Amino acid sequence: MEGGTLFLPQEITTNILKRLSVRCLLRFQCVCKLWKNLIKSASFIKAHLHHSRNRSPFLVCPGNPHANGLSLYLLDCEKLISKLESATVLGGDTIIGSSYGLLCYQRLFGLRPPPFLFLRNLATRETIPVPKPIDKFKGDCICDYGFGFSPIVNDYKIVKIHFSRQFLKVNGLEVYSLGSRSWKKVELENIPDLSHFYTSKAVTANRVVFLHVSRAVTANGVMFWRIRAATANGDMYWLMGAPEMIISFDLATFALALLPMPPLWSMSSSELALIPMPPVCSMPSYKLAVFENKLAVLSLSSTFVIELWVMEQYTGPLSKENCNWTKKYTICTFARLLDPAAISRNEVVCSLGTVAIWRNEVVCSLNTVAICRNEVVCQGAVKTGLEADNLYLLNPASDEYRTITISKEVYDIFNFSESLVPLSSNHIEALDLNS
Amino acid sequence: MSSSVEAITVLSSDGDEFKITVSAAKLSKPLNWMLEDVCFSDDCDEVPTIEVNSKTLVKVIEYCEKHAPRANSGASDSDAEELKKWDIEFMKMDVKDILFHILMAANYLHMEGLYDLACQTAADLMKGMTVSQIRKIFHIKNDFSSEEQEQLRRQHPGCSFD
Repeated sequence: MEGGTLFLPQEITTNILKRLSVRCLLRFQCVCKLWKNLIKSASFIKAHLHHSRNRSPFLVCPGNPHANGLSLYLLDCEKLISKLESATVLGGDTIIGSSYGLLCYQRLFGLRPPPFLFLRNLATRETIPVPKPIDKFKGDCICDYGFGFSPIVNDYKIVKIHFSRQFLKVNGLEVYSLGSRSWKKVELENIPDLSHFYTSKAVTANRVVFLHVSRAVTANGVMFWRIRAATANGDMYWLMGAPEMIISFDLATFALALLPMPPLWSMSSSELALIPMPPVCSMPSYKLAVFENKLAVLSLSSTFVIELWVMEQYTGPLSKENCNWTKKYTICTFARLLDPAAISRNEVVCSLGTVAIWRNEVVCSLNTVAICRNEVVCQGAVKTGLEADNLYLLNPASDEYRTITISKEVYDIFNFSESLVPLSSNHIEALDLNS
Repeated sequence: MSSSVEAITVLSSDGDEFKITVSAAKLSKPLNWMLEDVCFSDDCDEVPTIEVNSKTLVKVIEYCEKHAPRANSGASDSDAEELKKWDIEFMKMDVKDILFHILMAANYLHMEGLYDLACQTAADLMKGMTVSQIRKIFHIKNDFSSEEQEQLRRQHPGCSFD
Protein backbone atom coordinates (compact mmCIF):
# COMPACT_ATOMS: atom_id res chain seq x y z
CA MET A 1 0.00 0.00 0.00
CA GLU A 2 2.80 2.45 -0.83
CA GLY A 3 1.73 5.72 -2.46
CA GLY A 4 2.06 5.62 -6.21
CA THR A 5 1.42 1.93 -6.68
CA LEU A 6 -2.01 1.67 -5.12
CA PHE A 7 -4.65 0.00 -7.26
CA LEU A 8 -8.19 0.16 -6.01
CA PRO A 9 -10.14 -3.08 -6.14
CA GLN A 10 -13.13 -3.04 -8.51
CA GLU A 11 -15.58 -3.12 -5.59
CA ILE A 12 -14.30 0.26 -4.38
CA THR A 13 -14.12 1.72 -7.90
CA THR A 14 -17.76 0.71 -8.43
CA ASN A 15 -18.80 2.31 -5.16
CA ILE A 16 -17.16 5.60 -6.20
CA LEU A 17 -18.43 5.60 -9.79
CA LYS A 18 -22.06 4.87 -8.89
CA ARG A 19 -22.14 8.28 -7.17
CA LEU A 20 -21.33 10.14 -10.40
CA SER A 21 -23.83 11.71 -12.77
CA VAL A 22 -24.66 9.96 -16.03
CA ARG A 23 -22.96 12.81 -17.85
CA CYS A 24 -19.68 12.16 -16.01
CA LEU A 25 -19.96 8.40 -16.52
CA LEU A 26 -20.48 8.72 -20.26
CA ARG A 27 -17.29 10.80 -20.30
CA PHE A 28 -15.37 8.32 -18.15
CA GLN A 29 -16.20 5.42 -20.47
CA CYS A 30 -13.15 6.63 -22.38
CA VAL A 31 -10.77 6.03 -19.47
CA CYS A 32 -10.12 2.37 -20.28
CA LYS A 33 -11.85 -0.79 -21.51
CA LEU A 34 -12.40 -2.07 -17.99
CA TRP A 35 -14.28 1.09 -16.99
CA LYS A 36 -16.27 1.12 -20.22
CA ASN A 37 -17.44 -2.45 -19.63
CA LEU A 38 -18.08 -1.75 -15.96
CA ILE A 39 -20.25 1.29 -16.71
CA LYS A 40 -22.27 -0.71 -19.27
CA SER A 41 -22.67 -3.77 -17.06
CA ALA A 42 -26.09 -4.71 -15.71
CA SER A 43 -24.85 -4.83 -12.12
CA PHE A 44 -23.43 -1.31 -12.37
CA ILE A 45 -26.55 0.14 -14.04
CA LYS A 46 -28.54 -1.33 -11.17
CA ALA A 47 -26.17 -0.06 -8.45
CA HIS A 48 -26.16 3.41 -10.03
CA LEU A 49 -29.96 3.56 -10.30
CA HIS A 50 -30.36 2.38 -6.73
CA HIS A 51 -28.03 5.12 -5.49
CA SER A 52 -29.67 7.71 -7.72
CA ARG A 53 -33.16 6.77 -6.51
CA ASN A 54 -32.13 7.41 -2.93
CA ARG A 55 -31.01 10.94 -3.66
CA SER A 56 -33.07 11.63 -6.71
CA PRO A 57 -33.86 15.14 -7.79
CA PHE A 58 -37.29 16.33 -8.69
CA LEU A 59 -38.64 17.15 -12.11
CA VAL A 60 -40.58 20.37 -12.49
CA CYS A 61 -42.46 21.38 -15.62
CA PRO A 62 -43.38 25.04 -15.46
CA GLY A 63 -45.68 26.74 -17.88
CA ASN A 64 -48.38 25.20 -19.97
CA PRO A 65 -46.80 22.75 -22.42
CA HIS A 66 -49.65 23.18 -24.86
CA ALA A 67 -48.81 26.83 -25.21
CA ASN A 68 -45.08 27.09 -24.73
CA GLY A 69 -43.60 23.66 -25.25
CA LEU A 70 -42.29 21.61 -22.41
CA SER A 71 -39.17 22.71 -20.64
CA LEU A 72 -38.01 20.82 -17.63
CA TYR A 73 -36.27 21.85 -14.47
CA LEU A 74 -34.57 19.72 -11.89
CA LEU A 75 -34.81 20.35 -8.21
CA ASP A 76 -31.95 18.58 -6.50
CA CYS A 77 -31.26 17.53 -2.92
CA GLU A 78 -29.82 20.91 -2.01
CA LYS A 79 -33.13 22.35 -3.20
CA LEU A 80 -31.50 24.12 -6.09
CA ILE A 81 -33.32 24.44 -9.32
CA SER A 82 -31.65 24.07 -12.68
CA LYS A 83 -32.91 23.88 -16.23
CA LEU A 84 -32.53 20.52 -17.94
CA GLU A 85 -30.99 21.21 -21.33
CA SER A 86 -31.54 17.77 -22.74
CA ALA A 87 -35.29 18.14 -22.46
CA THR A 88 -35.86 21.24 -24.54
CA VAL A 89 -36.66 19.12 -27.58
CA LEU A 90 -39.89 18.02 -25.94
CA GLY A 91 -41.91 20.85 -27.45
CA GLY A 92 -45.66 20.26 -27.36
CA ASP A 93 -45.34 17.02 -25.44
CA THR A 94 -47.00 15.89 -22.23
CA ILE A 95 -45.34 13.66 -19.69
CA ILE A 96 -47.34 10.56 -18.82
CA GLY A 97 -45.05 9.32 -16.10
CA SER A 98 -41.54 9.05 -14.74
CA SER A 99 -40.29 5.83 -13.25
CA TYR A 100 -36.96 4.18 -12.44
CA GLY A 101 -34.97 6.62 -14.55
CA LEU A 102 -37.20 6.61 -17.62
CA LEU A 103 -39.80 9.05 -18.84
CA CYS A 104 -42.86 8.29 -20.95
CA TYR A 105 -44.41 11.14 -22.90
CA GLN A 106 -47.14 11.72 -25.36
CA ARG A 107 -47.23 13.95 -28.40
CA LEU A 108 -50.69 15.39 -28.25
CA PHE A 109 -50.99 17.38 -31.40
CA GLY A 110 -50.72 15.34 -34.51
CA LEU A 111 -48.87 17.82 -36.64
CA ARG A 112 -46.27 15.17 -37.11
CA PRO A 113 -47.20 11.65 -38.16
CA PRO A 114 -47.33 8.86 -35.56
CA PRO A 115 -45.77 7.49 -33.39
CA PHE A 116 -47.09 9.67 -30.67
CA LEU A 117 -45.86 7.81 -27.58
CA PHE A 118 -42.21 7.90 -26.60
CA LEU A 119 -39.91 6.56 -23.95
CA ARG A 120 -36.94 8.67 -23.05
CA ASN A 121 -33.94 8.41 -20.80
CA LEU A 122 -33.37 12.07 -19.93
CA ALA A 123 -29.84 11.42 -18.67
CA THR A 124 -28.43 9.51 -21.65
CA ARG A 125 -30.75 11.41 -24.02
CA GLU A 126 -31.80 8.17 -25.65
CA THR A 127 -35.37 8.16 -27.02
CA ILE A 128 -37.39 5.39 -28.61
CA PRO A 129 -40.84 5.59 -30.19
CA VAL A 130 -43.53 3.28 -28.85
CA PRO A 131 -45.65 1.46 -31.46
CA LYS A 132 -49.35 2.22 -31.69
CA PRO A 133 -51.70 0.40 -29.32
CA ILE A 134 -53.84 -2.34 -30.85
CA ASP A 135 -57.37 -1.12 -30.24
CA LYS A 136 -58.95 2.13 -31.19
CA PHE A 137 -62.14 1.81 -29.10
CA LYS A 138 -64.34 4.11 -31.08
CA GLY A 139 -67.42 5.61 -29.55
CA ASP A 140 -68.13 7.37 -26.32
CA CYS A 141 -64.93 6.43 -24.66
CA ILE A 142 -62.24 8.17 -22.67
CA CYS A 143 -58.78 6.74 -22.46
CA ASP A 144 -55.84 7.42 -20.24
CA TYR A 145 -52.21 6.33 -20.23
CA GLY A 146 -50.05 5.40 -17.27
CA PHE A 147 -46.37 4.54 -17.04
CA GLY A 148 -44.63 2.61 -14.31
CA PHE A 149 -42.11 -0.02 -13.32
CA SER A 150 -42.95 -3.35 -11.78
CA PRO A 151 -40.25 -4.65 -9.42
CA ILE A 152 -41.83 -8.10 -9.57
CA VAL A 153 -41.37 -8.67 -13.29
CA ASN A 154 -38.48 -6.18 -13.63
CA ASP A 155 -40.08 -4.42 -16.53
CA TYR A 156 -41.40 -1.00 -17.50
CA LYS A 157 -45.04 -0.90 -18.59
CA ILE A 158 -47.26 1.59 -20.36
CA VAL A 159 -50.94 1.03 -19.64
CA LYS A 160 -53.78 2.29 -21.79
CA ILE A 161 -57.10 2.18 -19.99
CA HIS A 162 -60.46 2.87 -21.64
CA PHE A 163 -63.58 3.93 -19.84
CA SER A 164 -67.00 3.89 -21.36
CA ARG A 165 -68.57 7.21 -20.54
CA GLN A 166 -72.07 6.13 -21.18
CA PHE A 167 -72.00 2.90 -19.25
CA LEU A 168 -69.54 4.02 -16.61
CA LYS A 169 -67.27 1.05 -16.74
CA VAL A 170 -63.79 0.01 -17.75
CA ASN A 171 -64.01 -0.89 -21.41
CA GLY A 172 -60.60 -2.29 -22.07
CA LEU A 173 -56.96 -2.39 -21.09
CA GLU A 174 -53.80 -2.70 -23.09
CA VAL A 175 -50.29 -3.00 -21.72
CA TYR A 176 -47.01 -2.24 -23.45
CA SER A 177 -43.94 -3.96 -22.08
CA LEU A 178 -40.52 -2.43 -22.73
CA GLY A 179 -39.01 -5.89 -22.20
CA SER A 180 -41.00 -7.52 -25.01
CA ARG A 181 -41.49 -4.28 -26.95
CA SER A 182 -45.10 -5.05 -27.71
CA TRP A 183 -48.65 -4.23 -26.69
CA LYS A 184 -50.85 -6.87 -25.15
CA LYS A 185 -54.60 -6.72 -24.74
CA VAL A 186 -55.64 -7.67 -21.24
CA GLU A 187 -58.54 -10.07 -20.98
CA LEU A 188 -60.66 -8.63 -18.20
CA GLU A 189 -62.36 -11.27 -16.13
CA ASN A 190 -64.14 -9.16 -13.58
CA ILE A 191 -64.75 -5.90 -15.34
CA PRO A 192 -65.40 -3.34 -12.63
CA ASP A 193 -68.79 -1.84 -13.25
CA LEU A 194 -68.71 1.69 -11.97
CA SER A 195 -72.39 2.40 -12.42
CA HIS A 196 -73.53 1.09 -9.03
CA PHE A 197 -71.26 3.67 -7.42
CA TYR A 198 -73.23 6.29 -9.24
CA THR A 199 -76.71 5.56 -8.12
CA SER A 200 -76.51 8.28 -5.52
CA LYS A 201 -78.83 11.24 -5.61
CA ALA A 202 -76.07 13.47 -6.93
CA VAL A 203 -75.64 11.36 -10.01
CA THR A 204 -79.19 10.44 -10.81
CA ALA A 205 -80.34 14.04 -10.51
CA ASN A 206 -77.90 15.14 -13.17
CA ARG A 207 -78.38 13.22 -16.31
CA VAL A 208 -75.23 14.10 -18.15
CA VAL A 209 -72.54 12.53 -16.07
CA PHE A 210 -69.03 11.79 -17.11
CA LEU A 211 -66.01 10.34 -15.49
CA HIS A 212 -63.05 12.39 -14.48
CA VAL A 213 -59.87 10.32 -14.36
CA SER A 214 -56.75 11.53 -12.57
CA ARG A 215 -53.22 11.00 -13.78
CA ALA A 216 -51.97 7.49 -13.02
CA VAL A 217 -49.65 6.99 -10.08
CA THR A 218 -47.54 3.85 -9.64
CA ALA A 219 -46.50 2.55 -6.23
CA ASN A 220 -44.59 -0.68 -5.82
CA GLY A 221 -45.63 -2.07 -9.20
CA VAL A 222 -49.33 -1.23 -8.93
CA MET A 223 -50.87 1.58 -10.96
CA PHE A 224 -53.68 3.70 -9.53
CA TRP A 225 -56.22 6.13 -10.96
CA ARG A 226 -58.68 8.20 -9.00
CA ILE A 227 -62.06 8.50 -10.67
CA ARG A 228 -65.06 10.60 -9.87
CA ALA A 229 -68.15 11.85 -11.56
CA ALA A 230 -68.69 15.28 -12.92
CA THR A 231 -71.59 16.67 -14.85
CA ALA A 232 -71.80 18.92 -17.83
CA ASN A 233 -74.90 21.00 -18.01
CA GLY A 234 -73.69 23.78 -20.18
CA ASP A 235 -70.93 24.43 -17.69
CA MET A 236 -68.83 21.84 -15.98
CA TYR A 237 -69.69 21.02 -12.43
CA TRP A 238 -68.24 18.81 -9.80
CA LEU A 239 -70.79 16.68 -8.06
CA MET A 240 -70.03 17.31 -4.44
CA GLY A 241 -70.99 14.34 -2.38
CA ALA A 242 -70.79 11.96 -5.30
CA PRO A 243 -68.67 8.97 -4.47
CA GLU A 244 -65.11 8.67 -5.61
CA MET A 245 -63.01 5.62 -5.99
CA ILE A 246 -59.65 4.35 -7.00
CA ILE A 247 -58.95 1.84 -9.73
CA SER A 248 -55.85 -0.27 -9.23
CA PHE A 249 -54.02 -2.31 -11.84
CA ASP A 250 -51.21 -4.66 -10.91
CA LEU A 251 -48.47 -4.41 -13.55
CA ALA A 252 -47.28 -7.95 -12.84
CA THR A 253 -50.51 -9.95 -12.48
CA PHE A 254 -52.73 -7.64 -14.60
CA ALA A 255 -55.37 -7.75 -11.83
CA LEU A 256 -57.82 -4.88 -11.85
CA ALA A 257 -59.66 -3.78 -8.70
CA LEU A 258 -61.93 -1.04 -7.44
CA LEU A 259 -60.88 0.43 -4.12
CA PRO A 260 -62.53 2.87 -1.75
CA MET A 261 -61.02 6.26 -1.02
CA PRO A 262 -59.86 6.93 2.53
CA PRO A 263 -62.61 8.34 4.80
CA LEU A 264 -61.85 11.97 3.99
CA TRP A 265 -63.57 15.00 5.41
CA SER A 266 -66.03 15.51 2.56
CA MET A 267 -67.02 11.88 2.43
CA SER A 268 -68.82 12.22 5.71
CA SER A 269 -70.87 15.13 4.51
CA SER A 270 -74.21 14.00 3.19
CA GLU A 271 -74.97 17.36 1.68
CA LEU A 272 -74.94 17.41 -2.07
CA ALA A 273 -74.00 20.46 -4.03
CA LEU A 274 -72.88 21.50 -7.43
CA ILE A 275 -69.65 23.43 -7.36
CA PRO A 276 -68.62 25.28 -10.50
CA MET A 277 -65.44 23.90 -11.93
CA PRO A 278 -62.96 26.68 -12.52
CA PRO A 279 -61.04 26.34 -15.76
CA VAL A 280 -57.71 25.29 -14.35
CA CYS A 281 -57.99 24.29 -10.76
CA SER A 282 -59.42 20.96 -9.94
CA MET A 283 -61.82 20.64 -7.06
CA PRO A 284 -62.43 19.10 -4.69
CA SER A 285 -58.88 18.69 -3.76
CA TYR A 286 -57.68 15.14 -3.52
CA LYS A 287 -54.54 14.00 -5.16
CA LEU A 288 -52.83 10.66 -5.45
CA ALA A 289 -49.14 10.44 -4.62
CA VAL A 290 -46.59 7.91 -3.43
CA PHE A 291 -45.36 7.96 0.15
CA GLU A 292 -42.68 5.51 1.26
CA ASN A 293 -43.40 3.28 -1.74
CA LYS A 294 -47.11 3.12 -0.87
CA LEU A 295 -50.12 4.81 -2.42
CA ALA A 296 -51.02 8.05 -0.65
CA VAL A 297 -53.99 10.40 -0.89
CA LEU A 298 -53.52 14.06 -0.11
CA SER A 299 -56.65 16.03 0.59
CA LEU A 300 -57.15 19.70 1.23
CA SER A 301 -60.11 20.42 3.46
CA SER A 302 -62.37 23.44 3.43
CA THR A 303 -60.41 24.66 6.43
CA PHE A 304 -57.20 24.49 4.38
CA VAL A 305 -55.79 21.58 6.30
CA ILE A 306 -54.03 18.88 4.30
CA GLU A 307 -54.42 15.28 5.34
CA LEU A 308 -51.98 12.63 4.21
CA TRP A 309 -53.49 9.14 4.04
CA VAL A 310 -51.50 6.03 3.20
CA MET A 311 -52.71 2.66 1.97
CA GLU A 312 -51.11 0.18 4.31
CA GLN A 313 -49.25 -2.94 3.22
CA TYR A 314 -51.64 -5.63 2.09
CA THR A 315 -51.26 -9.33 1.65
CA GLY A 316 -52.46 -11.14 -1.43
CA PRO A 317 -54.10 -9.42 -4.38
CA LEU A 318 -55.29 -5.89 -3.71
CA SER A 319 -59.06 -5.67 -3.28
CA LYS A 320 -61.76 -3.64 -1.61
CA GLU A 321 -61.59 -5.95 1.40
CA ASN A 322 -57.87 -5.78 2.15
CA CYS A 323 -57.43 -2.12 1.33
CA ASN A 324 -56.61 -0.40 4.59
CA TRP A 325 -56.16 3.38 4.93
CA THR A 326 -54.24 5.13 7.71
CA LYS A 327 -54.07 8.86 8.32
CA LYS A 328 -50.35 9.62 8.65
CA TYR A 329 -50.21 13.38 8.94
CA THR A 330 -52.30 16.48 9.26
CA ILE A 331 -50.54 19.46 7.75
CA CYS A 332 -51.74 22.87 8.87
CA THR A 333 -49.27 25.05 6.98
CA PHE A 334 -51.78 26.56 4.56
CA ALA A 335 -54.34 27.13 7.30
CA ARG A 336 -51.65 29.21 9.04
CA LEU A 337 -50.53 31.08 5.94
CA LEU A 338 -53.84 32.03 4.39
CA ASP A 339 -55.19 35.47 5.00
CA PRO A 340 -57.82 35.00 7.73
CA ALA A 341 -59.93 37.93 6.52
CA ALA A 342 -60.49 36.38 3.10
CA ILE A 343 -61.33 33.04 4.64
CA SER A 344 -63.87 34.46 7.04
CA ARG A 345 -65.75 36.09 4.18
CA ASN A 346 -65.88 32.73 2.39
CA GLU A 347 -64.26 34.31 -0.60
CA VAL A 348 -61.44 31.96 -1.20
CA VAL A 349 -61.53 28.45 -2.46
CA CYS A 350 -58.24 26.64 -2.60
CA SER A 351 -57.35 23.45 -4.30
CA LEU A 352 -54.18 21.49 -4.55
CA GLY A 353 -52.46 22.08 -7.83
CA THR A 354 -49.69 19.71 -8.76
CA VAL A 355 -48.69 17.41 -5.96
CA ALA A 356 -45.99 14.87 -5.30
CA ILE A 357 -44.09 13.57 -2.35
CA TRP A 358 -40.35 14.00 -2.50
CA ARG A 359 -37.97 12.77 0.18
CA ASN A 360 -40.85 12.58 2.66
CA GLU A 361 -41.91 16.16 2.01
CA VAL A 362 -45.09 17.16 0.23
CA VAL A 363 -44.34 19.32 -2.80
CA CYS A 364 -47.33 21.16 -4.10
CA SER A 365 -48.66 24.25 -5.68
CA LEU A 366 -51.92 25.79 -4.58
CA ASN A 367 -54.68 27.09 -6.80
CA THR A 368 -56.71 29.83 -5.26
CA VAL A 369 -59.90 31.30 -6.64
CA ALA A 370 -62.18 33.98 -5.38
CA ILE A 371 -65.78 32.91 -5.09
CA CYS A 372 -68.67 35.29 -4.88
CA ARG A 373 -72.28 34.04 -4.68
CA ASN A 374 -71.23 30.64 -5.97
CA GLU A 375 -69.54 32.10 -9.02
CA VAL A 376 -65.88 32.03 -9.74
CA VAL A 377 -64.83 35.65 -9.88
CA CYS A 378 -61.16 35.45 -10.60
CA GLN A 379 -58.39 33.05 -10.51
CA GLY A 380 -54.84 33.44 -9.37
CA ALA A 381 -54.40 36.93 -8.03
CA VAL A 382 -56.51 36.56 -4.92
CA LYS A 383 -55.23 38.17 -1.78
CA THR A 384 -54.65 35.06 0.19
CA GLY A 385 -51.20 35.47 1.70
CA LEU A 386 -49.90 32.80 -0.66
CA GLU A 387 -47.93 33.16 -3.84
CA ALA A 388 -49.45 31.47 -6.85
CA ASP A 389 -46.13 30.89 -8.59
CA ASN A 390 -44.50 29.24 -5.64
CA LEU A 391 -43.93 25.59 -5.06
CA TYR A 392 -44.42 24.72 -1.43
CA LEU A 393 -42.34 22.05 0.25
CA LEU A 394 -44.26 20.97 3.32
CA ASN A 395 -42.62 18.83 5.96
CA PRO A 396 -45.45 16.75 7.42
CA ALA A 397 -43.50 15.70 10.49
CA SER A 398 -42.52 19.19 11.67
CA ASP A 399 -45.28 21.15 9.89
CA GLU A 400 -42.58 23.52 8.64
CA TYR A 401 -42.44 24.67 5.04
CA ARG A 402 -40.13 26.11 2.41
CA THR A 403 -41.00 27.80 -0.82
CA ILE A 404 -39.33 27.57 -4.17
CA THR A 405 -39.99 30.38 -6.56
CA ILE A 406 -40.22 29.53 -10.20
CA SER A 407 -40.94 32.43 -12.48
CA LYS A 408 -43.78 30.59 -14.19
CA GLU A 409 -46.76 28.72 -12.91
CA VAL A 410 -45.87 25.11 -12.26
CA TYR A 411 -47.72 22.81 -14.58
CA ASP A 412 -46.56 19.45 -13.34
CA ILE A 413 -44.07 17.80 -11.00
CA PHE A 414 -42.60 14.32 -11.03
CA ASN A 415 -40.23 12.20 -9.05
CA PHE A 416 -37.19 11.52 -11.16
CA SER A 417 -33.98 9.57 -10.92
CA GLU A 418 -31.05 9.63 -13.28
CA SER A 419 -30.16 6.32 -14.81
CA LEU A 420 -28.00 4.57 -17.38
CA VAL A 421 -30.88 2.22 -18.30
CA PRO A 422 -30.42 1.59 -22.04
CA LEU A 423 -33.64 1.82 -24.03
CA SER A 424 -32.02 -0.07 -26.88
CA SER A 425 -31.32 -3.06 -24.67
CA ASN A 426 -33.30 -6.15 -25.53
CA HIS A 427 -32.92 -7.51 -22.05
CA ILE A 428 -34.61 -5.05 -19.70
CA GLU A 429 -35.73 -7.85 -17.37
CA ALA A 430 -32.18 -9.19 -17.17
CA LEU A 431 -31.04 -5.87 -15.71
CA ASP A 432 -32.91 -6.95 -12.58
CA LEU A 433 -33.32 -3.31 -11.51
CA ASN A 434 -35.22 -4.11 -8.36
CA SER A 435 -33.62 -4.68 -4.90
CA MET B 1 -12.59 -8.27 27.89
CA SER B 2 -12.04 -6.39 31.08
CA SER B 3 -14.42 -3.49 31.44
CA SER B 4 -11.77 -1.38 33.16
CA VAL B 5 -9.79 -1.02 29.91
CA GLU B 6 -10.52 2.29 28.23
CA ALA B 7 -7.92 2.26 25.47
CA ILE B 8 -6.11 -0.40 23.54
CA THR B 9 -2.81 -0.43 21.71
CA VAL B 10 -2.55 -1.55 18.09
CA LEU B 11 0.36 -1.77 15.64
CA SER B 12 0.29 -0.28 12.15
CA SER B 13 1.70 -2.19 9.17
CA ASP B 14 4.84 -0.04 9.56
CA GLY B 15 5.23 -1.34 13.12
CA ASP B 16 4.30 1.88 14.95
CA GLU B 17 2.19 1.69 18.08
CA PHE B 18 -1.13 3.55 18.30
CA LYS B 19 -3.61 4.00 21.11
CA ILE B 20 -7.32 3.90 20.36
CA THR B 21 -10.13 4.16 22.89
CA VAL B 22 -12.44 1.18 23.21
CA SER B 23 -15.51 3.20 22.24
CA ALA B 24 -13.78 4.43 19.08
CA ALA B 25 -12.55 0.95 18.14
CA LYS B 26 -16.13 -0.26 18.26
CA LEU B 27 -16.84 1.65 15.01
CA SER B 28 -14.93 -1.09 13.21
CA LYS B 29 -16.41 -4.58 13.16
CA PRO B 30 -13.06 -6.43 12.97
CA LEU B 31 -11.64 -4.32 15.83
CA ASN B 32 -14.79 -4.97 17.82
CA TRP B 33 -14.37 -8.70 17.34
CA MET B 34 -10.77 -8.34 18.40
CA LEU B 35 -11.91 -6.59 21.59
CA GLU B 36 -14.17 -9.48 22.39
CA ASP B 37 -11.63 -12.17 21.64
CA VAL B 38 -8.34 -10.84 22.90
CA CYS B 39 -7.51 -9.99 26.46
CA PHE B 40 -6.56 -6.33 26.57
CA SER B 41 -5.45 -6.06 30.16
CA ASP B 42 -2.27 -4.37 31.35
CA ASP B 43 -0.41 -7.62 31.82
CA CYS B 44 -1.36 -8.89 28.37
CA ASP B 45 1.59 -8.38 26.04
CA GLU B 46 -0.11 -9.28 22.78
CA VAL B 47 -0.44 -6.24 20.52
CA PRO B 48 -2.62 -6.78 17.41
CA THR B 49 -1.41 -5.51 14.06
CA ILE B 50 -3.70 -3.65 11.70
CA GLU B 51 -2.70 -3.90 8.05
CA VAL B 52 -2.88 -0.15 7.51
CA ASN B 53 0.16 2.14 7.25
CA SER B 54 0.90 4.65 10.00
CA LYS B 55 -0.02 7.75 8.03
CA THR B 56 -3.46 6.32 7.20
CA LEU B 57 -4.04 4.80 10.63
CA VAL B 58 -3.55 8.23 12.27
CA LYS B 59 -6.39 9.57 10.16
CA VAL B 60 -8.63 6.55 10.70
CA ILE B 61 -8.20 6.79 14.47
CA GLU B 62 -8.84 10.54 14.35
CA TYR B 63 -12.14 9.83 12.54
CA CYS B 64 -13.11 7.09 15.02
CA GLU B 65 -12.43 9.21 18.09
CA LYS B 66 -14.49 12.07 16.65
CA HIS B 67 -17.44 9.89 15.67
CA ALA B 68 -17.46 7.51 18.63
CA PRO B 69 -19.46 9.65 21.10
CA ARG B 70 -22.28 10.13 18.59
CA ALA B 71 -22.30 6.53 17.41
CA ASN B 72 -22.53 5.25 20.96
CA SER B 73 -25.12 7.60 22.41
CA GLY B 74 -26.95 9.22 19.55
CA ALA B 75 -26.90 12.98 19.37
CA SER B 76 -28.94 16.06 18.67
CA ASP B 77 -29.38 17.61 15.24
CA SER B 78 -26.97 20.42 16.02
CA ASP B 79 -24.28 17.85 16.81
CA ALA B 80 -24.99 16.08 13.53
CA GLU B 81 -24.63 19.39 11.72
CA GLU B 82 -21.33 20.08 13.47
CA LEU B 83 -20.06 16.58 12.64
CA LYS B 84 -20.95 17.06 8.97
CA LYS B 85 -18.81 20.21 8.87
CA TRP B 86 -15.99 18.37 10.60
CA ASP B 87 -16.19 15.55 8.02
CA ILE B 88 -15.82 18.03 5.16
CA GLU B 89 -12.70 19.54 6.77
CA PHE B 90 -11.36 16.08 7.60
CA MET B 91 -11.70 14.93 4.00
CA LYS B 92 -9.64 17.81 2.59
CA MET B 93 -6.72 15.62 1.58
CA ASP B 94 -4.75 14.52 -1.43
CA VAL B 95 -6.56 11.86 -3.46
CA LYS B 96 -3.67 9.64 -4.48
CA ASP B 97 -1.53 10.19 -1.43
CA ILE B 98 -4.03 9.49 1.31
CA LEU B 99 -7.71 9.35 0.27
CA PHE B 100 -7.36 6.05 -1.61
CA HIS B 101 -5.52 4.59 1.41
CA ILE B 102 -8.36 5.70 3.66
CA LEU B 103 -10.80 4.02 1.25
CA MET B 104 -8.89 0.75 1.41
CA ALA B 105 -8.57 0.96 5.20
CA ALA B 106 -12.26 1.78 5.73
CA ASN B 107 -13.25 -1.12 3.49
CA TYR B 108 -10.84 -3.50 5.27
CA LEU B 109 -11.94 -2.35 8.72
CA HIS B 110 -15.65 -2.50 7.77
CA MET B 111 -16.24 1.12 8.73
CA GLU B 112 -19.39 1.95 6.83
CA GLY B 113 -19.55 5.65 7.70
CA LEU B 114 -15.96 6.41 6.76
CA TYR B 115 -16.13 4.23 3.61
CA ASP B 116 -19.25 6.05 2.43
CA LEU B 117 -17.71 9.45 3.19
CA ALA B 118 -14.46 8.61 1.40
CA CYS B 119 -16.26 7.22 -1.68
CA GLN B 120 -18.42 10.36 -1.89
CA THR B 121 -15.36 12.60 -1.48
CA ALA B 122 -13.56 10.76 -4.27
CA ALA B 123 -16.63 10.99 -6.53
CA ASP B 124 -16.99 14.73 -5.83
CA LEU B 125 -13.33 15.29 -6.71
CA MET B 126 -13.63 13.29 -9.94
CA LYS B 127 -16.58 15.32 -11.25
CA GLY B 128 -14.39 18.12 -12.53
CA MET B 129 -11.54 15.97 -13.83
CA THR B 130 -10.57 15.18 -17.40
CA VAL B 131 -10.19 11.62 -18.60
CA SER B 132 -6.40 11.84 -18.53
CA GLN B 133 -6.45 13.24 -14.99
CA ILE B 134 -8.60 10.27 -13.96
CA ARG B 135 -6.15 7.84 -15.56
CA LYS B 136 -3.30 9.48 -13.67
CA ILE B 137 -4.81 9.21 -10.19
CA PHE B 138 -6.17 5.70 -10.76
CA HIS B 139 -2.95 4.50 -12.48
CA ILE B 140 -4.81 3.41 -15.57
CA LYS B 141 -3.38 3.17 -19.09
CA ASN B 142 -5.47 4.07 -22.13
CA ASP B 143 -5.91 0.62 -23.66
CA PHE B 144 -8.25 1.60 -26.50
CA SER B 145 -6.92 1.07 -30.00
CA SER B 146 -7.33 3.97 -32.38
CA GLU B 147 -10.16 2.07 -34.15
CA GLU B 148 -11.99 1.59 -30.87
CA GLN B 149 -11.55 5.26 -30.03
CA GLU B 150 -12.96 6.18 -33.40
CA GLN B 151 -15.96 3.90 -32.82
CA LEU B 152 -16.67 5.39 -29.37
CA ARG B 153 -16.43 8.89 -30.81
CA ARG B 154 -19.06 7.97 -33.37
CA GLN B 155 -21.36 6.58 -30.68
CA HIS B 156 -20.86 9.50 -28.35
CA PRO B 157 -20.06 12.60 -30.33
CA GLY B 158 -17.84 14.91 -28.35
CA CYS B 159 -16.38 12.30 -26.04
CA SER B 160 -12.76 12.83 -25.24
CA PHE B 161 -9.90 10.44 -24.56
CA ASP B 162 -7.70 13.17 -23.07
